[in-house]
Amino acid sequence: MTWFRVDPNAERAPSAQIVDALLDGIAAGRFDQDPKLPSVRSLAVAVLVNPNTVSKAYLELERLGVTRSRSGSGVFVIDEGREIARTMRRSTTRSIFDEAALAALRSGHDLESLTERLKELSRETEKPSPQAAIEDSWDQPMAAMKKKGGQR
Amino acid sequence: MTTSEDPVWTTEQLGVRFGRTTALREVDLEIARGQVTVLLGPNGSGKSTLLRCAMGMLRPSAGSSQVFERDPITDADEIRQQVGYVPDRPDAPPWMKFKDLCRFLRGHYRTWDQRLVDELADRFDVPRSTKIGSMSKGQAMKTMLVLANGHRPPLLLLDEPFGGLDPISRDEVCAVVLTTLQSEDHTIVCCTHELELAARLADRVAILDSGRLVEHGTLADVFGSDEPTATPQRLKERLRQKESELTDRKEVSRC
Repeated sequence: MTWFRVDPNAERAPSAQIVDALLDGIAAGRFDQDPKLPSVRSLAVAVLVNPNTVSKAYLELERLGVTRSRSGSGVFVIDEGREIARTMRRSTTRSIFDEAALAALRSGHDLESLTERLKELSRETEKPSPQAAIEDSWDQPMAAMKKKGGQR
Repeated sequence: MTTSEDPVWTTEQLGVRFGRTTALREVDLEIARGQVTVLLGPNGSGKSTLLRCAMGMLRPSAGSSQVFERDPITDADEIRQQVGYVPDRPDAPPWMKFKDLCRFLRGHYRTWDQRLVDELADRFDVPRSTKIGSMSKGQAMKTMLVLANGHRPPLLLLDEPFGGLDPISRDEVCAVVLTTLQSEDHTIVCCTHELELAARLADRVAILDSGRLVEHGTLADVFGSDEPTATPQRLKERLRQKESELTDRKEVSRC
């Protein structure tokens, strides 16, 4: 359950870091199979923050309309939750992109090379995801080891 | 977690003196139920002394301290049934093992919950047959923490639980502390130097300096914003600011 960590040194508040991470997770489809979020207390122990900080993050997710809490049974991502999370991540990433693009243009990159780079990146993301690539690279040495063991 | 009006621990004008040294002076403190309060302050500022007053291990020389509306000195036995205390160094005999301590403590507490102790010990890999004296600091601290929760105390006092631990053990101890926050009205008071862990754990912060309580409040109170990010950096700045205010005041009073 801990695909993210909370960094208390960061300028962004811990509860906001949790909201971001969960929105990312929801947008990426982590909760498609099982829409139930972890309990406040178990997530608090997993990312090492006060349970009240997690509660605050959960309230925020509910306010954003991504989750709904059912009394007694926990907090669930609603059906439209993934789409909302995606939209929100899209607007955040768009503003980050704009900022980076402006900085690049100002520092003297020409439009053609940037456009070319964007096309390149887009082609790269169409390929198997980086995660899958990592898993592949894990499998290979494992397979090699198994083989070696077999030969012995 | 809820904060009910009735405080778990209150002190009024509490003072403690050791001979000529004053360890605590005029401390007015209210610890609210169901909150994690982190006590901050430099070495020798009186943090451990304050915790010892709650346990009835020290007799105040002025003022009073009440835990669950009882006097820790006269009602020491009753207070011990309701408070878990973990000193900065393990106070168990070094030749005892986890299982010996369980057997020993079980007889002293009405509400001893061996299942909870076993569950916590399994979850956090507490060595069962190693002598306390032969354990690493991290192992000993986890052992003491798990045992301090054995009688399900509604108030847990922790004196420097992260002192001298490596980053991994620190995270583990932090996880044990957070796991013990299982019920809504479980209260923790924890002294620490580790600002990063303070920022992770605290609902409220209390700052002690030369035996005086100079600041106490929620993170929002202390940092004065709606969205308090108690980054270690800010805690440090706040501590420094308080220190300089205090020296100013001392200079004024000297004039």
